[in-house]
Amino acid sequence: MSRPGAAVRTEALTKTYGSGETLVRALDAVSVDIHRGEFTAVMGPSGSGKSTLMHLTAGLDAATSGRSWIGDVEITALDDKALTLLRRERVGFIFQAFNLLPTMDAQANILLPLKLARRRPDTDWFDHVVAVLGLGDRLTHRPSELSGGQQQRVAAARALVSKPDVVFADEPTGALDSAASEQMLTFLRASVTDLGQTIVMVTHDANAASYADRVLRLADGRVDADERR
Amino acid sequence: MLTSPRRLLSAALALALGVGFVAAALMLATSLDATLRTAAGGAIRDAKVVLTENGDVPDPLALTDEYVTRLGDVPGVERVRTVVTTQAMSPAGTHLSMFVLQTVPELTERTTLVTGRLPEAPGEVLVNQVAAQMRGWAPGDTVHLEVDDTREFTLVGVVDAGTDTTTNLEAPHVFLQMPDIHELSGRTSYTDLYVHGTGSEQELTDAIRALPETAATHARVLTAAEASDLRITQFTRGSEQLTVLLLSFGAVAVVVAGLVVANTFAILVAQRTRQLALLRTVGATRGQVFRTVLVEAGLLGLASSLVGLALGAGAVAAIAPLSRGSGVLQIEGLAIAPRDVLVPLAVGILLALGAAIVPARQATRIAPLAALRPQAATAVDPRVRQGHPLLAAAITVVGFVLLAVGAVVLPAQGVSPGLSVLVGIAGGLLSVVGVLALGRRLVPAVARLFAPGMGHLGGAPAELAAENAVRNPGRAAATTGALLVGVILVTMMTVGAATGQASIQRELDGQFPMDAQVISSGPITDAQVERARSLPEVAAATVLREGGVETADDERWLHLLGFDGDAAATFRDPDLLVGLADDTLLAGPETELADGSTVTLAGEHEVALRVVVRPGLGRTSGVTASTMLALQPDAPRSLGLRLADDADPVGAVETISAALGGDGPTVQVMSLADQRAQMQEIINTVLLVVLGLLAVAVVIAVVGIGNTLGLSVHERRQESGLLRAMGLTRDQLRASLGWEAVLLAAVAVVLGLVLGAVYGVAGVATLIASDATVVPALPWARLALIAAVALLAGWLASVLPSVRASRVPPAAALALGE
Repeated sequence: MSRPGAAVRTEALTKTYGSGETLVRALDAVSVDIHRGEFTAVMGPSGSGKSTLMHLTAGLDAATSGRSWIGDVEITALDDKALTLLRRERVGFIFQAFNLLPTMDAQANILLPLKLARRRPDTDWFDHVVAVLGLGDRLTHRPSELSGGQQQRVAAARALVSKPDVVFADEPTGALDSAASEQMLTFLRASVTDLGQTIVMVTHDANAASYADRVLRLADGRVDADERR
Repeated sequence: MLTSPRRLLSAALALALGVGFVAAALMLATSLDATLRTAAGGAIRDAKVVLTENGDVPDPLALTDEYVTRLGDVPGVERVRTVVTTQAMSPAGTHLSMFVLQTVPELTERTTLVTGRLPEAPGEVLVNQVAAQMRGWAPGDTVHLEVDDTREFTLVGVVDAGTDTTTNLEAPHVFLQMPDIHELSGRTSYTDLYVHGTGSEQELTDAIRALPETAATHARVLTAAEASDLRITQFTRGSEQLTVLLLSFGAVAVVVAGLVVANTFAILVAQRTRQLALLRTVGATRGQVFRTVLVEAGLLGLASSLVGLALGAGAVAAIAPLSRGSGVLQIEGLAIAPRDVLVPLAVGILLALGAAIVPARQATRIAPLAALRPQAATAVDPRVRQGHPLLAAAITVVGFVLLAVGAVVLPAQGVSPGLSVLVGIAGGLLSVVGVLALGRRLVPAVARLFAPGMGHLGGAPAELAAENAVRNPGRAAATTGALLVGVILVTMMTVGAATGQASIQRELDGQFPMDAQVISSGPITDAQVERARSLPEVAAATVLREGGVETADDERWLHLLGFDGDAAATFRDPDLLVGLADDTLLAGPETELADGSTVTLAGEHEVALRVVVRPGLGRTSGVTASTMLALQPDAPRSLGLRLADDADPVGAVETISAALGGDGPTVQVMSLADQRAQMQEIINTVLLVVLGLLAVAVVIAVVGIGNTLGLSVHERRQESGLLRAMGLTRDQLRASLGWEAVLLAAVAVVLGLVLGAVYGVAGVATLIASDATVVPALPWARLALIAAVALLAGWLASVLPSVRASRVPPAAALALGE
């Protein structure tokens, strides 16, 4: 079904809340392709539907209508269990805040998706990711003992360690100072350029978007502009 | 608070249960007392003086007709009511069973004729309902009674004999007219005399005691009041302690209720943070917020206490008809004293207020600003205050030391059981409080012991659960505490019952050192002895010669058994007969003979014997068969038996009497099997009632776990969302919460089983007489059942919260403060 090269694809994807006069169209028949190996930024003001688009395409929420694929799997046709297993195997996440489980140390947080999937971690890859993110001496720390930037880097490491088809990043720099933001964005950019990782980043920050290959602008639940640089 | 009915319900239930327990204990005490007073007063009626025969005195000296005539001459005496209570056997087929024989009762409110009429002519008898049911007798039937030889009587009526007629309601009775009883039993004296007359009880009693003939009867002479009190103490020997025990359960139930209520109030306050903050922003003072919470708690306390009172009264009323069959605890109906209402009410309201104080103070600390902040940031930590760990440890240690004093030291000193029970209960309560206060440290520590095994069993969800269960130690402790107390109580009762039973068994084994004894109407034949030996139910058999001999110097009567050389094998304790020789007398402690002394027995010949005291013999004494024959050549032969270990005691008795009844004289197998079975039944009934009540405590505790888990789920919403995003399936999320609840339950089970077993054994040790041995017994199957039920209940508690948690889509759960 999916065209070659599309990591994520949607077809008339729609999400509405409420009904009748109070009906809100958070996402209004959006059809897009996200290409493999590209760094795509989704931008838009509050309420534009950018987070909803991410939640639906990542399988975190159910669409009202329309279809959506990750690779060649139509996720809008999956039940909750299959969807969860798909996320576990093929999707990585970085959220703005509350990325880490407070009861686990950094290493356990990074390895959590693999553990849930009962997959053996690729030790070389794990060491590489940890080294690139500069987390080597922080692995035994709990989230409360890490700075905001360090916490986001642990989240990034977790997203990448399972070598997912696509990483969804929801305002990953939203809670960081400018230096830490720079570091995070540079890392994301490098993982696309050097490793061919596919990343979809939701942001309202133009500077963050400037690291991307492509910028989708949303307004009122529709794609307003699709810029490639 | 009144807007969260579901959570409120659990607090109210917990309170009602605690109050109900206290109310039931108090009402039971009142009802028992009322019952005993009517029972004890019943037989005495309006008599002023009661004389009771001393069974050890030979008949001619006892309460004879002559003496009764002499009594009639005492100034002030108007009437002497004579009663004979004795026993006879009644054959049915090859079996004999024991009946109580008594003089025909006067019909009263409590003793009423069921059918037929009272005996009028000689040879007519009346039976009580127990006997009628046992034998299927109806008026017109023939009743065979046997003392020395068998006589026939005609049944003319069945009577419902109440407490004013007999103190032994469950025994089969046959009532005969006085001449018939005298003729049948061969005795010419009475067992009890009730003296009616003028003047004060004391004057009349003194006058009777002053009679020279009175001393010669050796009878016990008591005023009606003394006799009544004596009977009450005889009856209440067990029941007062039972009330104390129940009250202590009540106290513990109150503690459980307190834990659940405090936890529930804390959760309610936490959930109402915004509402309370809003109150503060519109101008409510801290005091007003504090009072709002307290008033709600007080109202809840009042309402729950009323329900609790009804529960308690209902429980006692329900027990009343069930109690008829038990010897220790018989109540005729519910009786309530004012104290039984006021105390539980006060306890319930104070408990609710006390449990609400900490949450209410937390509520006053909510800043008005909290109304404006997102909810998650201001959740109040709903933990029960734990106090200083060293203090808690000290309380625990002091508690266990007191428990040991009550269970071991005081009984060894021979103080009254009442005191040792009180000390034991104080120690038990203190140690429970101490353990609960240590919970913040103890619960996570024990939980961590289980974590690796659980991770092994349940994979990632279980590992998550192990971490989550103890991340808030205070809450984990409070949640576990309620279930812990429930498990402790149930285990204590179960182990206590088993231990008590085993200990009483040991005591009975001592008093009746053989499993069974076969007595016969004529000399037992050698063929019968051989037949008994050949039965698979019989492990060993020996011929006994049984008799009674007086000491030469002070004419003390001794019950004597003459043992053959093979007798030792028939005893459960084979060492019992070590030291038996032709010149020794093995004496039980109740014979009050001094160890090592020499005693001369006056039988056919005078024989001097060296006394060796054997605690296991009770009131019996033992000599060799040859010594016995020298003392009493015609001593009747009987047969002592040890049953095979795998034989069913009740069935074995049937088999043996059937096998030996066929040839030779009629036999009767006397065995404790029936008594044991009856004791078992009583203990099981009481246990069932108490466990039923306690089961409710466990249910309450489980509701508490559900509440706490619900709050945790609420607080960990985002975390659950994150886990779901990472690939935790719905089933795994549910499983994780299930494991969390099961882990907390497992901690409660492990601590509860250990502590409960200790309390159960210690409780029996405080109750049991000083000279008896406590035999700890652990009923493994029941303990396993307790563990399984508690774990299952813990898991059930997680079902609702986990279903709610897993329904939330990950995207919604992740959304911050929206």
